[in-house]
Amino acid sequence: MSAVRLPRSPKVLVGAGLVAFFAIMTVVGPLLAPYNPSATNFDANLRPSATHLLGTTALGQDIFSQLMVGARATMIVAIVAGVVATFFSIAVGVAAGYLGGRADDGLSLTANVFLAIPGLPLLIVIDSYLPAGGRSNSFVIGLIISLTGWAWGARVLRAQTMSLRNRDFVEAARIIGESRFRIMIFEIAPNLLPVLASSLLFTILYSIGAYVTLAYVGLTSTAVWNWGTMLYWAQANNAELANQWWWFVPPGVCIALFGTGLALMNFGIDEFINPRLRAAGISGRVRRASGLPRRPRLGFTPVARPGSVRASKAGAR
Amino acid sequence: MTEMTMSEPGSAQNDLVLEIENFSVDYGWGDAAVRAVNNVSLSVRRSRVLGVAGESGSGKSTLVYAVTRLLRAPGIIAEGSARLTFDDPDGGTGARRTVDLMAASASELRAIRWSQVSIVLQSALNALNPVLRIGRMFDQVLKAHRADMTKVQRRQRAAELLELVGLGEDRLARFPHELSGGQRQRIMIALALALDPQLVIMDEPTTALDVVTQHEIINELAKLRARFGFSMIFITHDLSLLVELADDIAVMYAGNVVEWAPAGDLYATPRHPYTLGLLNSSPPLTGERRELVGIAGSPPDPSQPVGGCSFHERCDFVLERCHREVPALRVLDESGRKVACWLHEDGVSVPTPLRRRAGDDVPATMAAEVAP
Repeated sequence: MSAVRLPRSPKVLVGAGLVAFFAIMTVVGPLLAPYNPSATNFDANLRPSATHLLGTTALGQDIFSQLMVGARATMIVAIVAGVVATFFSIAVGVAAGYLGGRADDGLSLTANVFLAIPGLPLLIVIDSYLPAGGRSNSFVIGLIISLTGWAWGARVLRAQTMSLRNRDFVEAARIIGESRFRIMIFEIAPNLLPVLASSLLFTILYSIGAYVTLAYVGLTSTAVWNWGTMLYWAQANNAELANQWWWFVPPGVCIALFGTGLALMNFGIDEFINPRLRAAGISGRVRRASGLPRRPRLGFTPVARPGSVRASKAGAR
Repeated sequence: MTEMTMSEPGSAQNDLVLEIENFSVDYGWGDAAVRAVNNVSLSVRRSRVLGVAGESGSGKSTLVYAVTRLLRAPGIIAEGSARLTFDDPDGGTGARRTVDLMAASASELRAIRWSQVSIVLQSALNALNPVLRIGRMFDQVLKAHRADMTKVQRRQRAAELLELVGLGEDRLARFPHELSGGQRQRIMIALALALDPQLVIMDEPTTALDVVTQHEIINELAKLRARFGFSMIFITHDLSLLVELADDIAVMYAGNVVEWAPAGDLYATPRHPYTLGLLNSSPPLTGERRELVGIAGSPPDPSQPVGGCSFHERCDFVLERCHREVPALRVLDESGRKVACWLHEDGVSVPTPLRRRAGDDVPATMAAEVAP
């Protein structure tokens, strides 16, 4: 097996495509925005048109520009929160699962407390103590969100680590005299990759939800454009009642599509990481022509159609 | 040389239980495919034991797993057929039914497995559920496949099966970790026999056990076979063990069957250089002690197929032809035994160790010392 084969199922491709689209939007969105999103020098409440692709707000701001500029802050918060929370959950989850005993008791208790506290009220409380500068800083907001998002991942990783810690290869490493830290990082962590990857995706998803909610409630700086503040202003100006769908639907659709993309990508992770399933990386056309199933099924070894799979090689023997 | 036939050496073609024809198995698909089993044809007759021998990686386990469609991804059956014939439970007395295992649906396979073909795996500890008592495991099998049995009957049957393999009824209340390796393997064998299968496949069932336990289990199996008349495929790398148990032995090398003969003939008068090498590398059952000789070199990498006979790089008697042409498995003499070797082609003088007759004084394994 030479090069790493990427998953080719349509689900995963659509998901990756969606995520890539929003990643590009994060990078180039602010450059593509035709107007200053805060500028109020247009007519108010214009419907979508060629000059204003998504119309204007009640204050006369260009909604398309807001959407493009807002992507960056939304994504930065989501990724910062996702990565930091996942890092926390690895540290707490793997340590708790591997060390056991009192360390486990303490770490699990912490995780359980964070799970039990309702996330949003906690966020609101912390957020309300932030100085104005902190509220407008995407990194600070991301860090705060990660505080409420790590506990779930830590629980899952702890459980997985506990099932791994008594496997023969871990015991062998322990007997050889590898340090606990090394065992956790090099022996156990690579086995957690599938869980870790899906945990990262769903934490990012959670972070977007949390950030948009905070912004929608008005707890982040309303001067920073993101998809949540767009919804906040739409709500504040009764866009729903006025049926100005071009104001509140686009940010909602963007959030939904990005979330869908992440969820679809999650399907591919198992296929990508599990070496046994990796052989499934042949193209759908070849697979169907050979009469092979998409996913290997235990207890039902596929039978290749005569002469289809490897006519070239079979002749060589 | 006679025409190649598909039947077992020296047998009529009726009463076959398993018939494997031109069977090839690949690991991986497309360009990455590696051929693990190459064009193998074997068969098992009723109440007979077929031994499959060969060193690690020769494809013996891959072959039986693929035949039963149990081979895991990325294994693929590239070509060939395998048919299982068994007493039709729905038909009248003597009615036989044949199922093409390659064309069977998942539900057909499910119906056949365990009730007609059962498998004993190498690692008994991994195959037994650690949280279930032994009795529960028997209970579950019987419940799933013999729905008409009552709880009491199931319990009786389980005790009876344990007794068959030489264990007391009290073991039903034990957990797997409370039993020794040999006892666990006996439990596996008892489970495999629970539904009176037509064919039992043993994949190195005694490899993890000491020789004494090994011997006990082999004797147990021979007795059980004589009593119930099931057929057996016994996979091992221990050729001398097979000679005790098997009726016929197929020797595999690098995915090919290189010799297939009645067990006694194969042991006394090996005809393939690889079989000879295998016999020379394990101690004899009887007779004087002698020096053991290994086979030099290692098996070819299946992803880099060598031209010609797969054994030519390690063969003591290699001919020029062996580098170029692949020998087919052909019937050697009137007895019906088969060998895939150019040395037994017309016009080639067969080396002494491979020419020996059954009555000769010098055992073939000794004669190897005078080989070139």
